[in-house]
Amino acid sequence: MTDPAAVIAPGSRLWDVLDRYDATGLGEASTGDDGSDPVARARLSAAVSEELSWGDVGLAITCGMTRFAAPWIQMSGNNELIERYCSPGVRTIGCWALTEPDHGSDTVSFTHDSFRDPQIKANCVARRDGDEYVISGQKSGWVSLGSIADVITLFCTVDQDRGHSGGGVFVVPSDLPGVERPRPTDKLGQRPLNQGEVVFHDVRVPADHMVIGPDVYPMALEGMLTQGNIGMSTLFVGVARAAYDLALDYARERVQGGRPIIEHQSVQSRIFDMFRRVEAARALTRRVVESQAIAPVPFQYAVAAKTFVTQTAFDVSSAALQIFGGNGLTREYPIEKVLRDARASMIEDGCNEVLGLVAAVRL
Amino acid sequence: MSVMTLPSAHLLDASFTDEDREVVALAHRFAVEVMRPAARSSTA
Ligand SMILES: Cc1cc2nc3c(=O)[nH]c(=O)nc-3n(C[C@H](O)[C@H](O)[C@H](O)COP(=O)(O)OP(=O)(O)OC[C@H]3O[C@@H](n4cnc5c(N)ncnc54)[C@H](O)[C@@H]3O)c2cc1C
Repeated sequence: MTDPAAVIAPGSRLWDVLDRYDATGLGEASTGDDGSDPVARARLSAAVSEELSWGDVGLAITCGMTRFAAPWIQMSGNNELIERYCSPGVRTIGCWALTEPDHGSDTVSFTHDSFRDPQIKANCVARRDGDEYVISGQKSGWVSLGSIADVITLFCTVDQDRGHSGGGVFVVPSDLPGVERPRPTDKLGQRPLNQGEVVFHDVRVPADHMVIGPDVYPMALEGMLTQGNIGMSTLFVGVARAAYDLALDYARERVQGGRPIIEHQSVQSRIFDMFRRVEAARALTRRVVESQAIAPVPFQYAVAAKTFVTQTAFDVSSAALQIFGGNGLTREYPIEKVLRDARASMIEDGCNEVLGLVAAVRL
Repeated sequence: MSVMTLPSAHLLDASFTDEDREVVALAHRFAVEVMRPAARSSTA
């Protein structure tokens, strides 16, 4: 397997994929605001996401994150930042830095009392100093694209008396003095997606780089998690479908008992079960995607979709691997990679069981 | 890729315009021609 540092090295395949993605114009085609029906546009965007993650979800997320930073930068109202990072033709890789070495689920549990507990001390804190904020501490090795992002959208603690609820959101150019990015994380699945910790050594940013303050931070976090969970749903429908498609193709080719295994009834019923699950996952995803295009979807619905779809992606890819028999375990066939990718999704953007507990409070 | 070869997963996406179908087909082609080979050869 490729070393995670080689994945992001200058001249690696990753940069070629990004160049070619930019050239397709797919980012604008499915998300641009051209005055058309927002629901139709959202549906198209979901279909594009599904296709890209069907290809490879780690790369799909990487491509998608070239559009993540811009809205946060716009919120700063800082013309220098906007010109540098949001001008047409400029590729700005973004990342969302929330998880800390000592606080994973803690940082997403905004409906739980522990979220407001000042005894639970954050690893990354910003303090006001005149016209600036000084950011000190660390975000964990789980920040997607942490090693290569041009701009870090940093969710960190500002008012320590409010525990994790006293947060703020900052836009931090990654080339500022004091930003350090050690080696990327080596992980089981979604290996084309860079994961890397970010360390802040008293990084100074102008006050306007804080785009969300502590008073509205819990609401902003909820909105971000809602959006993120809907995004995860669209992506992992594609992963579930990739597993189903691979299993179907293989079952048509592989001959046992003198005929293709698809002609054995038990294989047929397993393949149909995969098809059914993929359809259900897409239907639930489309429901939240289309609703979100009109009005904010309540958090619990986004979590229902994310947890259902990622569990489906895992279940379908595991069932698909079984269809491949021993071949499924080898690296010669792509299904083991799809299974690894799906496994990571049940932890990504919040462990599924924790997201369920946070959302249950809203029922 | 032509409109006719849109993956069957989009069979029920009857509300898509021809232009939408072209975009989805382009995404599929990008997935087949660029993403899958990249993921398999060097990164995954
Ligand atoms: C592929 C991938 C991409 C990611 N991308 C990002 C990113 O872009 N930005 C970012 O900031 N983070 C990212 N993450 C991090 C992710 O959000 C965290 O891993 C996740 O929130 C869980 O935190 P943790 O790993 O520290 O696990 P922990 O919180 O330590 O959880 C460990 C176990 O304890 C259980 N647990 C914890 N708390 C509770 C509780 N209150 N009740 C019951 N059970 C509990 C969990 O369910 C889990 O089984 C990513 C993770 C992955 C895998």
